[in-house]
Formats: sequence, structure tokens, C-alpha cells
Amino acid sequence: MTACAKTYLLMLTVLLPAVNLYAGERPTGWGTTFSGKATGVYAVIDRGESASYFSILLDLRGTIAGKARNPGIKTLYNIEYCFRRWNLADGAVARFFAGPGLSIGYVSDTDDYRKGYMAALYGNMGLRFSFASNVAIKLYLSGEFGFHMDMKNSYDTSMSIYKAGLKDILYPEISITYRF
Amino acid sequence: MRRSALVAILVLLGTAAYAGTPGLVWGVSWGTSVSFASWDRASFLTADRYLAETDEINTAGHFNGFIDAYMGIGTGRNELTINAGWHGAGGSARLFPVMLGWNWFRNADRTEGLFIRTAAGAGFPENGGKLCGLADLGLGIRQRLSRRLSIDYGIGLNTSLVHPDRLTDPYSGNIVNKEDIRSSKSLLGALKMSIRLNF
Repeated sequence: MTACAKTYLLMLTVLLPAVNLYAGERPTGWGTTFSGKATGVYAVIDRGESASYFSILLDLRGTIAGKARNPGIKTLYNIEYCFRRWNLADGAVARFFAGPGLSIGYVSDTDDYRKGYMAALYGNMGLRFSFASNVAIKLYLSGEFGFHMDMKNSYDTSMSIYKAGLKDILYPEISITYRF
Repeated sequence: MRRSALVAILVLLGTAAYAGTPGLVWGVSWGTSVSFASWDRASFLTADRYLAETDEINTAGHFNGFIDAYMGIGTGRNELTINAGWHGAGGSARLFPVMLGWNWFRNADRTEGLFIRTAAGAGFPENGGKLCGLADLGLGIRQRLSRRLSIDYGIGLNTSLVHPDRLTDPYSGNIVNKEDIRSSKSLLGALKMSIRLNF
């Protein structure tokens, strides 16, 4: 991946939330997400039946298992659309959602956990439980399809499919959002 | 044997929860911890068959995660719980801990507000090996989500005494064979951030 492409992708994930801001939308909440594959924080623009998320995540591949020393880092912009909605007791609402996104980062995808640049299309689906007390809990699965650049050294780099994004789809993820 | 004991404890606690015992509290918690310091002591045989000893303080951090389930009794401002799950400690120790926890709440009804959380117990290493020790001390804030559900946001310090079986010989840079390790102890300090759902 050329420096130009990296810059373009980085700008894209930063620019997409900037477009939301320019359109007059402001974050309606913030939250934290956790799973065996990534953890981090995000800002959310929640429109009820759809929501946009901008996340900064630590990629934990190999780290929690003790095989890699340092986590990778990635940014993610994604949109979720509500397809089904159920009203629950105490004013709580459950929603089934799914949606696409774009992620880029500096993460590992090799057996020796060497880091390299990654860019991928992202998709997720799951259930979001919104409570009357300004908290929402989200349980979901996510996957990424894209490319990873394995950088052995500055002269020896290779690009391949980002395998972890597909292999780790079945890792359950949970996030907590606090609405302003 | 250890796994059987753990399963037996969880089945007993699950039965108590299902029976709706008054004052019973239960839930799940998960989160991340970042170890910020460790005191490592080890003695081992080098590749040249010399006995070597190391005693050093390391400040290299390591990012870890944990997930556990808990069950216990809540009365007045106090909650007494048994926690069991999976914890990562330092770079190589992965444990199944069983801990006794005590939470003290500022509010008398424990439904919301600030609380002090402590826990201590033993950890069974994932790959066998010697029993490890763990202790937690921290603060939490409880928020009610519905009549039956509340969430705790917690931050605190975690200390664990583990026996790493992956050592690097500082003289040669090689990994020490497990059978050449005579003793190995590591006292770890970590910052722990957790989220807990109480049902």
C-alpha cells in the first residue's frame, strides 16, 4: 500500500464522521466496547432507527492470549440500521441491527504477530438494548474484509487478505453506550 | 479435579439463583487490565548448565483482559460474592481465578451510587502449574437500568502473584526450557477497568 493510499484511507475514516458533524449532527453519546479481539471507545450519533459510530480500538489479537506484547490500533467508522424493534419492560427497547463500515489500522495478521497496515470493509449485526436510564447495551458479531500489509522490513513487504477479520467473526462483542 | 470443583461451585450457585434465594446477587463482569510494574524473581539452569538467578523490577506494561461470573449475598450496604472466570496476568500467566469479593456501598439500598470493591483469591493457571494469588481493590459506580438489571463501572488496582513458565535468559537472550526452571515468581501490579452487569 502506497503512502498516498494510506493517507487517503486515514483521511476517509476521519472525514466520514466530519461529514456528519458538518451536516449539523452532533454526538449523542459515547461508549466503550470489549471483546476478545478488540477493545476501545467510540462516539455515536444515534438517530433512533440508525446510528453512526466512530471508534478508536486496540486490536487485541494475540495480546490477551499472551502471545503478542503490544496491541495494534485501528479506527472504525460504521453505520447501523435497525431492522426490528421490540418494546420491553421498564421502558427498555430492543433493536436488531446490522450495518456496514470502514476500518483501517496498524494490526497483526501473521503467526508471529508482526504488525502492519490494514484497510477493510466492516460489517456487523446484533442486538441493542436501550434503557430508560440513558444506557444502551449492544451484543453483536462483526467481521472485516480487506487487506493487510505484512512488513518484515522496509525492503520486504507483502500484501494479503486480512485473515483475522474473517476468522474472528464469531468472537462475541459487547458495548456499553452512555447517551448524553 | 480443579475444573470439577469449579463446575460444582457454579452449579450450586446457579441452583441457588434459579430458586430465587432472597438477597441473592449475581451477574457477569468483564474488562481490561494493564500491568504497569512487576517484581520478577527466578532461578534456572542456563543452556551451559549454570545456575542463574534473576531479581529485577520491570515496568514494561502488558495489556490483558478478564471475564468472570459472580454470585453472592447482598445485605444492607454490603455484598459478599464469589467470583470465578478467566484472567490474564502479565505477559504469560492465564488464570482461572476463584475469588471472594466484598463490596461496600455508600447508599444503604445498594441500588445506585458509589461503592468500594475488594476481592482476593486464588488462580489456577490455564496450563497447569502452581497456584497463583490475586487481589483487587477499587471503586465502582452502580447505575440502575431497570427493576432487575443494573450496571457497575469500576476502576481499581489488581495485584497478582504468578509463577511464569516462560523465562528469557538475560545472558543469552534464549528462552529457558521449562524443565530447567527451578523457581519463578512474579508479583504484578495492574490497573483494572471493569464493567459488571447485575441481574
